[in-house]
Amino acid sequence: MKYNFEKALFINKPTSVGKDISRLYFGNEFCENLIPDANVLKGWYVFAEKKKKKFTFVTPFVTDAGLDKLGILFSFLNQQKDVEVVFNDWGIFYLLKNNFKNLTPVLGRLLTKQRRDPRMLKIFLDKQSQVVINAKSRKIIKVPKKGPPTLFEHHQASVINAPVFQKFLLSERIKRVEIDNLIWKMNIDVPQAIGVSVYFPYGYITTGRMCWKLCLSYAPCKKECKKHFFRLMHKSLPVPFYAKGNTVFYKSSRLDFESLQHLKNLRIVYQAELP
Amino acid sequence: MVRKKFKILAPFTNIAEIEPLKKAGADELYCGYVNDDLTKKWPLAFNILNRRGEGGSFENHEDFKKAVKKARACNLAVYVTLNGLYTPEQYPLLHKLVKSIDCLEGVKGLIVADMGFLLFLRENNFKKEIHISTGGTCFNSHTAKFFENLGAKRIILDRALTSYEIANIITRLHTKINFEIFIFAEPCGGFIDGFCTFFHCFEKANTVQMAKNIFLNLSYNTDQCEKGCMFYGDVLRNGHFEVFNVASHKRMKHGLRWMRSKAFSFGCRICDLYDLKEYPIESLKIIGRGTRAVERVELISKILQLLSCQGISRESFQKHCKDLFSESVFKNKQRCTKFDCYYPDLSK
Repeated sequence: MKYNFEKALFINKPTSVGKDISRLYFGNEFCENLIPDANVLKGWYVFAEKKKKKFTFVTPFVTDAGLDKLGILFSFLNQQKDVEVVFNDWGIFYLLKNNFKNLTPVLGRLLTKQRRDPRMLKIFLDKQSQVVINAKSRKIIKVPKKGPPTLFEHHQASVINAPVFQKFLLSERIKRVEIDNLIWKMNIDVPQAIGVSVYFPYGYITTGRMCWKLCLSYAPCKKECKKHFFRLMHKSLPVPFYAKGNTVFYKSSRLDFESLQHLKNLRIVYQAELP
Repeated sequence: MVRKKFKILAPFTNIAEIEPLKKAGADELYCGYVNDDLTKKWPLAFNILNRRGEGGSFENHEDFKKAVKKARACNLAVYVTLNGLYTPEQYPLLHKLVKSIDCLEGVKGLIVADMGFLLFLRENNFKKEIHISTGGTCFNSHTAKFFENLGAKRIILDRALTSYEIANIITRLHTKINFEIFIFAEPCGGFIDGFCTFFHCFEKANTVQMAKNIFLNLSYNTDQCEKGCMFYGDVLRNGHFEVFNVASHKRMKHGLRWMRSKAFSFGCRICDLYDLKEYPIESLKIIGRGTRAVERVELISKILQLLSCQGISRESFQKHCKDLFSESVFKNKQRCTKFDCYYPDLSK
């Protein structure tokens, strides 16, 4: 079956861009230290323009210092045509709304708040066997305590399904929201006026500001995330988990179009590499 | 007179904790409250209704009402945490719950994290204060302004902010919104509360003896998933990871090792109070819903003792803070390091 959707590509190095790609994404969602310099951003904007692709600039959550940096970049983008800015911080939205009306705000995946952790799947599937957990021969037999079906339904949905939130988004000129491709069937229910972008194949699970702790450098930021990433190994993981810089991701190789086909304004954002 | 600068906000889980907390010096209280209708559908263990699992919230309206009345008699305002992330099926039941809270005089407000729920409260003319939980992820002055425009009265700032960044938020914002900061304990593994979607489950053990040496345990299968973000620490601690080069995607030789002294952190911001006392921060948050009340009572007394230090230098104040930390956390066996701060400045 052929599905109808817009294709976007998240870029972080010069690459060939297929004709079917209509939009290029550039930026970082997770770290203020990775906000690009104005010249780098201009370079990518020109790259997209040359390739005749639309441009989306992705921004992280930021402190006030980050707002100042972004203000400079937005000043440039605001002079261009048809540029989207993905915000993952309501403060950035506030900045866009008040100062950069030419830019199209998009609600980022840090703010759409899906419950993503793939490990939950085991609970939904109720796969529990007998286990001996006491070394002193006292056997403890574990029996599944089944969760109500509402538990799984909740994990399939997102806060963006709430009509009161949707009304707010539309009233604030936010006409697109971004989500991750969960490893279970999703239930995203938004009106036609709100477009949905689905990131594929990497979904984020958690993020922080202490990459030194998460990636074992124990030192101030030297942008280790540009040099290496981790693959985590654990028996409880149903899909691969990765850590890069301050963020933990999962990889889901299957895109569940069936649960997305009802969305009229669907976009798939393909990330060839870990963000 | 540092003491007068801040209110102390303490958690409570039952009525018996109110008086000891008041005596210790708490100025206001917070608690979780849910009811059967909600917990049957979304078990508390999964932290869906609020950010605490089983044993962290009031689950019975009468108990909750009595506790609120008692707190009021002790002149302590109560704030109720409804800081989960909610989907539409939950709203009708949450609406009922909120109505039952809204009519209690002793409750001063709700602590919320979900934007949709905040808008819902506005739409339904919720009369009490709305505080933005740390789950609301406020890292800058514009976010604070954004939430203030939506009717928020107080914002609980994220732990991963330096005192300089906190001061920056406050000085840039010329409005009346209040701020609250975490002061001690629960660093949350290095992740940001409001952005963390790691599975968390806090389930009480429920084991029944079936025969000699055989016990039956009903559980949500959580042991097979490992516990929330703790899994990440376990993986690193045990070296269960491979490191790859970003450019080539080839596996790298590396010398990266988990270091207990640097990775294990308790989480604390007491030293920062010396500088932050200059800023209009309304409240210091003590955490620990569902934990032993005696620990919270002790902690409040110690923090107040510390805050009563007057006219001393920054160095002396910080020494007092480190003494407190060393005594409370390490039982005086070792001193804290910068890795125990909520968000340490590693360049120092």
